[in-house]
Parts: sequence; structure tokens; C-alpha cells
Amino acid sequence: MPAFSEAEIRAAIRASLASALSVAESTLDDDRDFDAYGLPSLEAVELAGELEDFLGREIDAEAIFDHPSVAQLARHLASAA
Amino acid sequence: MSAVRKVGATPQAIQAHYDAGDAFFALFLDPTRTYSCALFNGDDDLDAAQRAKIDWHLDQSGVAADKRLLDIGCGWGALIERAVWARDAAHATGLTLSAAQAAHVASMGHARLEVRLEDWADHAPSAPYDAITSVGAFEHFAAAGLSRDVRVDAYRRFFTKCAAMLAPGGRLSIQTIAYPAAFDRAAYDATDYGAFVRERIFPESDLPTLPEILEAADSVFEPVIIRNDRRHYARTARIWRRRLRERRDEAVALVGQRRVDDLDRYFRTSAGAFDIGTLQLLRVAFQKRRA
Ligand SMILES: C[S@@+](CC[C@H](N)C(=O)[O-])C[C@H]1O[C@@H](n2cnc3c(N)ncnc32)[C@H](O)[C@@H]1O
Repeated sequence: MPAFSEAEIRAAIRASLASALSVAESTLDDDRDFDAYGLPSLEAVELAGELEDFLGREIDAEAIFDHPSVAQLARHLASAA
Repeated sequence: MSAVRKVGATPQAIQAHYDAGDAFFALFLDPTRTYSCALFNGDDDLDAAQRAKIDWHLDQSGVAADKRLLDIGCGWGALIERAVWARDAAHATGLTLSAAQAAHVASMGHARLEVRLEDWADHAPSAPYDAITSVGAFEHFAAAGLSRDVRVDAYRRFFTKCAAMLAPGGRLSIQTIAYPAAFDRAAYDATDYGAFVRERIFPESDLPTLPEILEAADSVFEPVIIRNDRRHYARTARIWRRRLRERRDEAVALVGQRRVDDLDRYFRTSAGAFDIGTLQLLRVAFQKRRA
């Protein structure tokens, strides 16, 4: 199973988030809460699902709420590997 | 067409979902092809957890030797089969709208097992039942887009019919996916995923909330046990998805890539929705009211 660096995971989260919000990646702030973007909970769940497939391992979708920004989630997923 | 059928999913919609072929479902379900949330104890595998789920409903509905059981939405018959073999039930009737499922159960050829290709609203039993179960079928009892009142009416007709078919003191055990009471259906319907589920996974179906269920049942049944086992469904869906991925080539050959991709997305996102509580998995045991 491939291990991903925190930077790689962060890039994957940014790509998913930008597409979920239909905005350019350059407009994202890695420290901003997902909530503040107005991301509906089911879209957050789909984002978690995309990460699950990217990482090749199962992710509890609650991680999105427990680590609610790009930076926090990337750190969490990189350390929980 | 019965009055009730008009407010639930049509046989055509059900058939489209479940008649995809026995071989396809056998690829990712357990050997009994139980297609509903399992009940895990510790690190049970899927087979053990499906058995535990069936046992829970047999226990709650009071199935025992000499008792007559009706299973509404029997799928491939695992529950009625176990009622007869493991509990020695006198008779177990299963209802399904899927011809493929009915044919499979009929092929078991057990004298005390009966399967009918019939809507519960049209069922006319020859004698009262002692126990009724309905696992993973309630999701189909109200069509999409109904107002809350109309939906509760549809559920009330279901409970009233069940009560009428039960002997005094009879018990009913149901299992269904549900939304939280405060769920915003309109907002959900407007999401990509909401439209996807409505159009591609469960056409013509909508989900209840726990208060709707209790309100609809209240005049004829009292609740005895209520469980929300949503984490069990997240686990079940992830196992199905893993297995479907392992058998992807065979699955695509049987039903086509689009259907396989649709189910893959459905399992993935519903698992996450169960993780966070946007979806609930309710198991509710009722007793018929005496007054
Ligand atoms: C998800 S499957 C679950 C089957 C089975 N109980 C299990 O756990 O595997 C739903 C079942 O409900 C049946 N069903 C849906 N609406 C029904 C209705 N109005 N009357 C009778 N059966 C119905 C379908 O044909 C199907 O067998």
C-alpha cells in the first residue's frame, strides 16, 4: 500500500475541495474551516470518500468534522497512516 | 393497482433494482444474499453479522416453534429460511415484488416455507400471524416527493395492515434506513448526490424519520425497543463495496459498468453518511396494542 506524504494528501484534499465547491484551487485557504466554505455535509462525505480511494484505505467520515480544515485533515490523515 | 401501491415504489421500480440477477448480487453479498444492514458483535465477519441481524429480528418478533411468521420484503429468503430451520416455526411466508427472488425462495422447496410475489397491501392471509418482520423494505413504502402528512399516511396504512394480520399480542420487528428528524429534504434533493440516489439507485422511494414511524404506528402498535445502528451500516456498506471492487470485472460483465459504478458510489457515500449520522439505521420492535 503506497504511503503518502502530508503534502501529497494536502494536494489531494485541495483538489477534491475545489471541485466540490466548483472554485479554483488557488482561492482555497488551507486553514479555513470547511464549514466557512458552506460545504454541505453530504459533499464533505463525498470528499472523504475521494480521499479514501486516493489513500487506498477506509476513512471514518467523522474525520472531516474532527479535523475541519485542509491543513488539519492532511495532518491527521498523514499521521494516522 | 392498490391504493397503497400508488404512494410507494412501483413493482417496476423494485424489479429494476432487485432483478439485476442473482449472480450479480452473489458477487458482493454474503452467501444468503441478505441485502440489508448486518449486526456486528466484536469482529464478526459479514456472514456472522447477517445471521446475528436475522436472529435479532426473530427474537424481537417472537418467532418460535408453532408460530406463524410473515416477512414483508423477504429478499432471497434468508430470514424465513432460518425461522423454519433454526426456530422450528410452524409456517413462514415471505412477500417480495421481485420475480427473481420469489423464484429462488420457491426453489428451496420447504413445506413450511411459502413465498408470494405480492405487495403487502394485497396480502390476504388464511390465518393470523404471530410475528411479522420487515427488514430493509420500509425504504420503499413511500414514494419520493410526498408531503410529510401523505408519507405518514402511507406508513400508517402499513402498520394498520400489519396489526390486522397479527394475532392478539403479536409482535412486529422492522429495520429501515432513516433520516434524522430535522433533515432538510429539499436541500438534500438539490445536491448532486440526492439526485443521483433518487434517479439511479432507488427511484420512486423516500426515507422515513423515527418520529414519522412512531406517529404512524401509534394507534395500533407500541414500540418496545428502538436502536439506531448506523455504524453497523457503514461497516456493512464498506464490506459490500470492497467485495464488489474485488469482483469488478465479473460485475461489469453481468450488469454493465454504469450500474457497477453507481453502486460503488452509493456504497461509498452512504457509508460516510452513516458515519456522521446524516443517515440512521433503525431497528424497531413493536408490540400490537391491546387498547
Ligand atoms: C433491500 S431488499 C431486503 C430483503 C431482505 N429483507 C434482506 O434483508 O435481505 C427489499 C425487499 O423488499 C421488497 N419489497 C419492497 N416493497 C414491497 C412491498 N410493497 N410489498 C412486498 N415487498 C416489497 C423487495 O421486493 C425486496 O425483496
